[in-house]
Amino acid sequence: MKIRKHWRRAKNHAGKFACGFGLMLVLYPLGSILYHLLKRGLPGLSLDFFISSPKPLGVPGSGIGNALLGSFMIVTMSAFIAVPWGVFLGVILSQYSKKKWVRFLRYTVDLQLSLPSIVVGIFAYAVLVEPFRKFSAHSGAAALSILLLPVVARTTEEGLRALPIQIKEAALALGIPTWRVHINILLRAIRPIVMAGIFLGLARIAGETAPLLFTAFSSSRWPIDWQEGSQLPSFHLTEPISTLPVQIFQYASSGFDEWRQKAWTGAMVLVFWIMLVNIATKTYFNKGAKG
Amino acid sequence: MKKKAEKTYAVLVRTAGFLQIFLLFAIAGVLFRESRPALSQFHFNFFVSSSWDPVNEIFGGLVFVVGTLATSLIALLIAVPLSLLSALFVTQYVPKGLSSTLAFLVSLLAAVPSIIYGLWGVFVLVPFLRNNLEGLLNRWFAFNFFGVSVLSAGLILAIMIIPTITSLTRELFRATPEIYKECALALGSTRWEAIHYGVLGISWRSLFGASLLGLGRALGETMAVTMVIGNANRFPPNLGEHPFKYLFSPSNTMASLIANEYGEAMAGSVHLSSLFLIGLGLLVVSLVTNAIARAIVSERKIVKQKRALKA
Repeated sequence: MKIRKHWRRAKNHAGKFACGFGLMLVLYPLGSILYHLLKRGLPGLSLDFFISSPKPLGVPGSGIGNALLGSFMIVTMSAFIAVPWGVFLGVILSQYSKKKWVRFLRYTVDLQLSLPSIVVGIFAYAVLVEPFRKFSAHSGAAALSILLLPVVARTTEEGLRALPIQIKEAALALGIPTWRVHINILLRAIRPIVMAGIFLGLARIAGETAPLLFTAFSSSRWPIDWQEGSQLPSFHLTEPISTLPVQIFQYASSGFDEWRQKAWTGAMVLVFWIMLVNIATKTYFNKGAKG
Repeated sequence: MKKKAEKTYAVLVRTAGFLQIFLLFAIAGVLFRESRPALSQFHFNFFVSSSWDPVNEIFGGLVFVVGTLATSLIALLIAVPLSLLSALFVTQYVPKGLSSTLAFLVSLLAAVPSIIYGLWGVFVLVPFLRNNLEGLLNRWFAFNFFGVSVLSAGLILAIMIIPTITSLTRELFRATPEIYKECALALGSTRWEAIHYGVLGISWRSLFGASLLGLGRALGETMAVTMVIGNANRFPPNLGEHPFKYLFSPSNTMASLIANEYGEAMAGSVHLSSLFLIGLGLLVVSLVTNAIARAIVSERKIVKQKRALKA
């Protein structure tokens, strides 16, 4: 009897210990990644790194300036496609959810959420790159928007579902047309949630590499030019465009120490930015949604 | 005027929906169209043939299918128990405030992009494995281990899918009725026994679903795998003598092959078409995995369970 008691107590402690140990093992890579990013990335940090484009090997002063701008442009472009579309999808999914085709629609959104990004990449390649025989910023943005779309749709849907039905009923009872109820009342009520979803989605696609390898490709030029005498800058959207993740990949796989250093610094910038967005949205918008 | 706005809105909303459905079909359709040259040449022997020879234009995808399955399996074997334990720890053993902080840290792991895992894998994990295993493997099997291998790809994948599985299982554990655990405690069981019977015992099915969702993510993961797997397009020689060797040899997965060879394949060639066929295979496999997983662990079920508890 006594042995059994000790056995059970031991098992209890072992279970607790194992769980804690498991969590430590899970969090260890996060610590290690952050440590190495700082250790190997910080030495390469300089203002020049942020504002210059890649130079040929051996020429000092390579940077990620054009890649940062390219990433920003591509992510913005894909947001222009995916955000309105995704919000509408969210409205359908939550407001017309009893219809049969909407049930099927939800299924396709779910499947799209788990689509491997490389598959999206080769789809964009086949549709937007192969026919024109040219890598372009457009095709990269299209690929990223396919990845962003389901994220926006699902957050909007969940936000709308969480709203009390009375809000909608009251608005409709006042004789407000459906579209105004949806846009001016329901969507406005869940704006913090949708914004948080959009920001998290943007942070996710900003780090995507695989679909951009053969759509946006890369370039050592700047995506925006300001020529002498012209009033507006010219955007090179039908040209290959450099993005931060692809630039990191190229620096990393170059095999030269000088460029590997650039890869680590670029990676540090990318991760720092993504974590900042994550932490900011999760603290700020969550509070906004609750109170 | 009012009617018109209403109608326009209805049309707009429906179009958004139909376009979305069309998009998914278009993706499958385009991949199928592009892979037809390869399909008509190799038929379905493509997926059981292991020769990948761009020079003579003979293509078969078995190496990559096996690579994808092997790396994903390794990832699951490591990730599932670890995720389970950490989800238990976060939900059962820590106070609520700390619990949400820990969960947030785990979710940060999910936010780290694939390319960063690749970078870390190449310059931290691979050298670590090489330094620790090279001597051993050389002594036991007399073969050279370079660090880039199926094993390192599996390890990286494990790290990448842990946050997915952990957050899903955490939700599950939070949604399990407290009453079972309380009953077990009231009968004089220890905390671990209460968790064993009252939490784990009733959520096996959903755990299976969560693991499948993790598997779905592992199957399609590209960049990190490309960087650490070594990109070898054939099985290591004499595999029959030491099947164990496969783990420590460079290989390729379906996704990493596409990322690697896209630049080299010429437009309109059988080579490119074969890559599309691999992509189509990847699409089908991941869609099927995810469809099964979602059927098992639908979020709605969790919500329903929660509501039933409150009532």
